[in-house]
Amino acid sequence: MAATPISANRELQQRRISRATKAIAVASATATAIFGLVVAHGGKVSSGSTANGGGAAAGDDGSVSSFENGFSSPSLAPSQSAPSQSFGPPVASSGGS
Amino acid sequence: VIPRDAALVSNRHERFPAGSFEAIGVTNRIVVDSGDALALALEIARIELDALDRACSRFRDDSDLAAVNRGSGSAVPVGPLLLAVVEAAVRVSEATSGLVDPTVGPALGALGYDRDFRLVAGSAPGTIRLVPATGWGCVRVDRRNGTIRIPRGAELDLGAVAKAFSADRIASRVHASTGANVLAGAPPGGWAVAVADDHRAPGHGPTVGLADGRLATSSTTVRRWRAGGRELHHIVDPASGLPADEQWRTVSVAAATCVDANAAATAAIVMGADAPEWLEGMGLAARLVRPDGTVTRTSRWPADAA
Repeated sequence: MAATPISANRELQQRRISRATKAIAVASATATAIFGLVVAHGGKVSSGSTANGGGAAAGDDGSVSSFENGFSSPSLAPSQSAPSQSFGPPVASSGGS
Repeated sequence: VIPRDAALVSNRHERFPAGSFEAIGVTNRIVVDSGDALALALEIARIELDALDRACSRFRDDSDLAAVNRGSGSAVPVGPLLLAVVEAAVRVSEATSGLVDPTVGPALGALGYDRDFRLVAGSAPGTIRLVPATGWGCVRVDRRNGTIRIPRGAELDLGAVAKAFSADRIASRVHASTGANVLAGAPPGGWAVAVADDHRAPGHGPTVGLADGRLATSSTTVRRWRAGGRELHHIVDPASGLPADEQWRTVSVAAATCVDANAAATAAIVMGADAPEWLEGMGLAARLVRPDGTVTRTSRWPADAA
């Protein structure tokens, strides 16, 4: 088996982290733009402009690709409230599967 | 009618009906906050997971996904479920800058994970190959015509998205059909959920309360196998085609949806050392466990109870 290119992987990771950070900034700008659009249209939110990108825009040929997905938020959405400490017995478990 | 495998579970304030069943290679547990809703909730879950398997399984020749992977560069007609799951996979790929990528199919196959995991675990092939992912940018989803196209040689694997997608969908459908909340639907007092390396073996991790949102955990401690003289796990770095370095053995994330929580948890394992900062930047509550058991949390995740 080929040796693991550890140093190359680290450089790649750094580049991807940099890109991910930029993606977060783009996400904020996109969210602001969508909010502005909603206000301009009288506060109505269509089903295609949810925070989770449920309604990605289709191109002329109907295709939706990674680059054409203009209305999808390119970020991952946090929950409204944070988890809390819990001392009671659990109702379920979350683990690797 | 309460199924035979149903049991009452409780948190600090209430007792909730729950049931479990095996499907798609995992134990699926359904907890609702209304006893009347349990039988229908379990039925909805079984129907949804059966549909998911028929649409998204990499190991069924008759699945929509298998047809796409055999498509050799042509647009392949598929059902709406696979369309939606692949769209979700493309979105999380973009959000994670490719740390989670559905085109890792050939990478997993080259590492020996080319069939149902129960068969992989005992096979131990002598050689493995490294096949970096083709890249999610090559995936073309045509919603209007109901087709998906990937280049010749590319293959999709939806393991990082499909189960989470179904969990979100089951919760929504059960709530719409019965009015009951399903786990992250938040009854009074919230849901108490144990966090563990392996969903089948809770008990060593903390329990957290969830008032809203969804919780997902990715771990390198499950789905491990030997091939090519080394031990491998199922969370593959798309850039290298190798299992991710194990700087974190388990990452749990709370997010607005299971899809986002699961993508963030998996991406964090692939990212490695910088993952806490990345998760913090998105405002995600997360708990990361190193191989030696030491724990790092983002600011929104509570301290483990003493």
